[in-house]
Amino acid sequence: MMTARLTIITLWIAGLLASGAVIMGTRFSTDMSAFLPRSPNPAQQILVDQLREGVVSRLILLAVEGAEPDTLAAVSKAMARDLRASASFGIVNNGEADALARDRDVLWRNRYLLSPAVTPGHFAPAALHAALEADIGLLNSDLGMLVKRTIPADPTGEMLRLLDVFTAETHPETHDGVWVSPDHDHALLIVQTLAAGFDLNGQEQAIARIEAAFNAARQEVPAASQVRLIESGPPVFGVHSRIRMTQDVQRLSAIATFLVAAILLLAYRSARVLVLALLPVLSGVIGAIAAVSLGFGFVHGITLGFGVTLIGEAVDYAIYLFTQTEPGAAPATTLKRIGPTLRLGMLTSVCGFSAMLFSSFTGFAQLGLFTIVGLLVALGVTRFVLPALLPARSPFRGATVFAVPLIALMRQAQAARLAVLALTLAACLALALHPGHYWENELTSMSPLPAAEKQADEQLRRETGAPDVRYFLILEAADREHALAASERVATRLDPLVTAGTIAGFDFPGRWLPSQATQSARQAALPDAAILTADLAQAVAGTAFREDIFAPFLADVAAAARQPLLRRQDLDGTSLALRLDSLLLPGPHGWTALLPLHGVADPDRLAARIPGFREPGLLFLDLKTESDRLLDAYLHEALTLSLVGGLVIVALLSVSLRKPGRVAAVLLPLGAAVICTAALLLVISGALSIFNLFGLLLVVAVGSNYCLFFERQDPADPSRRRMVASLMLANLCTVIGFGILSFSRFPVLHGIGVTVAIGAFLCLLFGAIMNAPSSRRAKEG
Amino acid sequence: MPRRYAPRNDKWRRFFRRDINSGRHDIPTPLLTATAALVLLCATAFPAQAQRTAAAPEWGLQPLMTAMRQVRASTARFVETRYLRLLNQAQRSSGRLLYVAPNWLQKETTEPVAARLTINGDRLTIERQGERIQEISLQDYSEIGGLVESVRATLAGDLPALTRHFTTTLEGNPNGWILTLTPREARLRELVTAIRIRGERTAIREVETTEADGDRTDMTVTPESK
Repeated sequence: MMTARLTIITLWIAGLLASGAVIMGTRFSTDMSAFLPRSPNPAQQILVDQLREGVVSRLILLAVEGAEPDTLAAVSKAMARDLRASASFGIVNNGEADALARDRDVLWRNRYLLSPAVTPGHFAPAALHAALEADIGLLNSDLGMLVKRTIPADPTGEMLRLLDVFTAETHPETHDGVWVSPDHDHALLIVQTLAAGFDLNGQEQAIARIEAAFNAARQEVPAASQVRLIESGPPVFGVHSRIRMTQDVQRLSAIATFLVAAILLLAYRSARVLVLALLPVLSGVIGAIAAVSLGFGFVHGITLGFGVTLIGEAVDYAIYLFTQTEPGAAPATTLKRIGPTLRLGMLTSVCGFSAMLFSSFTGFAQLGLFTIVGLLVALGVTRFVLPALLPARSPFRGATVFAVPLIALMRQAQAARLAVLALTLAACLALALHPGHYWENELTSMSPLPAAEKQADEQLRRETGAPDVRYFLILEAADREHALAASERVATRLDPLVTAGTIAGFDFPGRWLPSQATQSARQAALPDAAILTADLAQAVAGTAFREDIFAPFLADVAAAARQPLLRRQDLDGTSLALRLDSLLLPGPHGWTALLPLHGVADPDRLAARIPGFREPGLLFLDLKTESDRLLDAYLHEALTLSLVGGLVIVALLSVSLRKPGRVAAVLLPLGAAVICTAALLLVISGALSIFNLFGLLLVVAVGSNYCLFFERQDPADPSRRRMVASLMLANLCTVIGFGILSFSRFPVLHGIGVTVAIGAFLCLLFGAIMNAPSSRRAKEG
Repeated sequence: MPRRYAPRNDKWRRFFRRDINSGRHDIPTPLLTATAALVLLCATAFPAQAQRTAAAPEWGLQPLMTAMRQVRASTARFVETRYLRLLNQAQRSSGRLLYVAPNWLQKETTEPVAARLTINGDRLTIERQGERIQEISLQDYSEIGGLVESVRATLAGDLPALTRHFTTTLEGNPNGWILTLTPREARLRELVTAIRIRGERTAIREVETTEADGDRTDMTVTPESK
């Protein structure tokens, strides 16, 4: 006996230590894309990848507000100067002309490689003559003094053409040389971090750097003490989410632990019992984290948040054991009596949570595994370790007082049953008559961003002129060169559509970095020095231009014909690189080119034209349709999983309980509770989310435990009162765990928390009422 | 005063801001607005109707500005001659100037190519042959913004604002005067050496702009009879 006890305790401690070792090496993640699907279609995968790692994921939008425009501009300039000096940022752009000097320099030096107008014949005498006449017209206008400096080196106006193309999109208005919002209330900055989007530590440092620069600027600029900083963009969301998640997990776990501990202390009036009751929970949480870490390679912050519910749930097993043991009786005897019910209850819970394992959301799958392992370990510790730690004679007293309200309710079972029936009918009616959608149909409803942050982001995006593109063409190629070349081929197909007005415009990576083949072709189109000199002389004759002023042009063309082709690294530090990198993405199987389309009048007609482009693998993507489809897919999956999970639970109960009457006694209260909970949530929030749906499945998984105990009660059994008290106490702890979770700022935790808290409580009530002894007697009699 | 605007074509906007390369290809950001300011300044004064005749003994910039402020609206014809280093011969253009106090001004070129430059409040629009090329906010250009604002201040009779951006020299008398403006700001001075305005009473007759590279533009203004 003694050795058995020692063995069990040794095994338990060894398990805890092993789990602890696993946890020490665990990577914790707060990346919310874990709650995006694992296996979307290729187009969706590109979007998800870009969100996670693309250039967009490194962009931070900043605004300073709260002072006169002059002051804001001064703060913007001081911040930009500071940030440019830091090594954390690739691009710091606040509209200052100096910051664009490098862009202009790259465009100017490579204008003959970049300009689409450079084709054979472009520098023939007639074409040159026409260009020169146009130049004279320009010189003799109010724009003359702007262009006269460049004409000797660029008489064909390639630079103007490039500026036209490259700066086609709108930029913010400026005040005092820096970007401002249209109402001049915000000075705007765009910065790109060097740290990758998923590198939250790097992003956190970058944000701290920005805030330091802001505070320094506020000190430095007079009258700027009241100026505020608004930050937005994926890195900010990521870092803020992590902070909120950490806070939520710590705060909610602490509150839940405190409340559960307080109730246990109240019930048992013994610190020793309290510690014993928390042992299975603690072991469960440790084992669960280790299991998720081993199964997934990382543990998500949301999963830890879910640990709060485990505190409320896993403590149930200890509660059943302690409360249902008569003072002075042997806990082992109690275990023998309630063991089968505990086992069946645990199995139904595991069945419910198993459905989540198959979710394509990595996050949900983690929650499922976490809870399953947590419950198994908690029950195992309750069943095997606790008896080994307990004295042979139970020290437990009190707690039966918790049975009073339920027993009272059960005495009124006749009336209460009618009430449950009426309530369920009303709920059915509410569900049937619900106006509008049953399900949240916006993907954004799943986003963990607080509304205020979402709103600030939308505003900053609008003000900085970051266009919200809905339609894309996407193509994939083996390497960068092929992707660029393919994007150029598609562009030549799209040009006529722009002319025809089918689309207003489009962008493509080959515009920002032409393929090497295109650049070579342009070089080949440049005439050699002797020919150009002769042709130019012919072209200048008969114009007002002096003959000798075009030496810079001849020199630049000669240099361009020999210059090395433009490569990606030549664009480093320019906003051209920013544009290129957002349109040309490296992937696991090569490179992906994105072609955003603007002003698509008739998407269906456009989509029908795509096959005519004869570009294999070219996809037409409508972001809105895709995200709707994505949400539909999630919802469909969640419904299927919940349904399968529910059926498995029904099957398990049917096999275990055998008699249809007993099965019904367990299932009817569960069904009524689920219906009432769904109706209540629908009435409160207007629509149900996927999180509510999973919550309903968990209501069945958790609530079945109470119904199983109620169904097994024997009115003649003196321990019945203790059993009812244990259920009440267990339910209280569960409702506390999930109820606390509903205060989380993350929709997933809130949605599941609020659903299970309501549902589990209704399960207890309905289970008690519908299994009240009088009904059983009536049935039997 | 409306502050919102929608930039249509950034090509010109960037060009105005400063161009392309360093040094050699540097394009005068402030110059355009200098022009705009100048045109505005001309326009304020080109109407010939003298509102007051009295030439006070202590005549100077202050009385001149005060007098010009009385002008509510006017039209005039202009002929512009540009002397550019790049070209063998001078280039002429001509058209009309229209002004409505206090801050609407249009320079409409009819020959040789139709073009139009409009200043409305703090917005500047340039169109060539019917195509809108650029619409910008004068606020955008710090050096120039101040310049234009000072012109506006001049219209409002605010002499200190004008002298903040230029050193001024006034010669002559109310019936025939020459106002020479020299930019105070270094960036503007790199582009424009001097602006000489010749006027008679509240009417401007000639504006001569000398640029730092030696190019010169002469504009003669003839008030239109009503």
